[in-house]
Amino acid sequence: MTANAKDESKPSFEVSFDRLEEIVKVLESGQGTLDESITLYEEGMACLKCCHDLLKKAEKKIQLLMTDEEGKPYLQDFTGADTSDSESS
Amino acid sequence: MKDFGGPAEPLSVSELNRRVKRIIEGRFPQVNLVAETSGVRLTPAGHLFFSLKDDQSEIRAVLWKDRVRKLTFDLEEGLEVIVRGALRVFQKRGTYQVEVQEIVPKGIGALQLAYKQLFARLEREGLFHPSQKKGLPRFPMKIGLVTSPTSAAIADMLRVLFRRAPRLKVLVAPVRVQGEGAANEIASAIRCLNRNVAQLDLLIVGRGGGSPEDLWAFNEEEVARAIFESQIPVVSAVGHEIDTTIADHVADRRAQTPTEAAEISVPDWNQILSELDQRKHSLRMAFQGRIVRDQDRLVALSQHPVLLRPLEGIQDRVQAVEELALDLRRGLGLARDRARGRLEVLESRPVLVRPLDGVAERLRDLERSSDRLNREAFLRIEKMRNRLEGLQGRLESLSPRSVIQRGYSLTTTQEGNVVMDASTLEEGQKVRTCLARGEFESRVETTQLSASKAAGALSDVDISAPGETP
Repeated sequence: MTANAKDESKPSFEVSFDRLEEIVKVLESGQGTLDESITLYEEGMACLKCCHDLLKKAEKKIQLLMTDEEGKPYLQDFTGADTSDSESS
Repeated sequence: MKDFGGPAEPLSVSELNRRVKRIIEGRFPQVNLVAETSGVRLTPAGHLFFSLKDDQSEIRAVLWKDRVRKLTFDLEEGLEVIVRGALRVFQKRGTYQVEVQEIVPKGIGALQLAYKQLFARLEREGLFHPSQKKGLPRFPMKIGLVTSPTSAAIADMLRVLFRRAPRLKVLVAPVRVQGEGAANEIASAIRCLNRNVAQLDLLIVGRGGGSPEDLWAFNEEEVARAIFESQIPVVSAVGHEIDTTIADHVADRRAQTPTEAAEISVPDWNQILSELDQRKHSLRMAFQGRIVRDQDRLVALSQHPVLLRPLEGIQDRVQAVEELALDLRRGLGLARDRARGRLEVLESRPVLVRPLDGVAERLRDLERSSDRLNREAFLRIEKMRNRLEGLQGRLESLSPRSVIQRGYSLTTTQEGNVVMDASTLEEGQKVRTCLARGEFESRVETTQLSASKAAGALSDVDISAPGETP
């Protein structure tokens, strides 16, 4: 969860994803100087990398939010419920 | 008096009330009433005091606080109710009232009424207003589930969530979703997940299908408020399609079932990944396209004659300059020749060859002209002199004096005016008369007006020169 704080400074997947689309549009329009195009291309590649990094770093995890006797919350890995069992349905 | 007495001994008030209490409470251990509520009052201690009435009578009633807490609906004024309870006599005051054990609205289920009442109240407060809805994140990475950890619903949700987003993080807040205290657990879990440092992108709150009573926790105000106050967007997923709870109305997005909640909460990452690949491809193509276009332009430019034969232009210009120089030279020669020709013509003119010839001739001309002028002037003066002499003779012959010489006289007044009309004279006036020789003064004796033509004619003659008069 400390890693989470680090994520804050980095753009989110959504921001990178949208920026990438924007960059492709600008490049396709053929506007701007060659220098600007190179800068955009590099930024686009960085956005791509950012998206893939975010995805790579993400991993499947299920946790239970539990509370101890004093009412303090803590997390516990969750193993059940992947296979269906039934209650009141 | 004895008729009223009954037992001989009079009773105390306390004794009477005690006997009434025993009789009434023994006779009415249980009453079932249909009535309308009135004068509902919640005491600070939490008991409800009110009246039950019909169109003619009323009776006091009380609902003690442990039963008030279990009341699902609001006991409103004028509510048609069915009450089960017992009659209780308040011995100290000699009054009696209904101690309510159960109270339900008439003609409508208690839960149904409670739902209606809460819905109306929360709607008035604006909790359902579209402007209060938060948008769902497009790419949630961490999701919180508020549901029972052992239900089929959670299994369904996890299955769909991980099928669509295999790398999702899910935090489950396990709660009871029905029964006593369920609403409180659900509300606490929502608040707890909001405080959680994991910074969830989205919450799904729900459970599988069940009876209206099973779903009741999601109709409670506490849950509604927790959902409303959540900073994290909330998707509700309660029961089946036909069930709509208060939680569904407050949630930012309502899913009809837990499975649908999972589907609308996360995108299909396989699709996102292929979209990302597509964008990567587009990025490369767009950039390459740009480079290729630039290259094409470069090639086109390099084919330009200026670059292929760079000296051609220069040679052309050198030649042009030389031609200009030639032209210039030729032009200069012509101009010089023309100037020289004109100079020669000028030099050959007599005035320049013998410059004094003309002057001498002019001098001679001038002398000739001067002689002629002198001669003419002399002749003209002679002529004028002769004419002048002639004029002088004529002028002398016209003089009054020469007229007087011929015997006429001239009479003038003392002022010197010539007397020509006798009527201008007065008697006794002095006049002066000039004669050929000498003059005399005289005094007018009489005047005589004469229209004689002769006199006029004479005057005329007087003026004209005698010689010239016929």
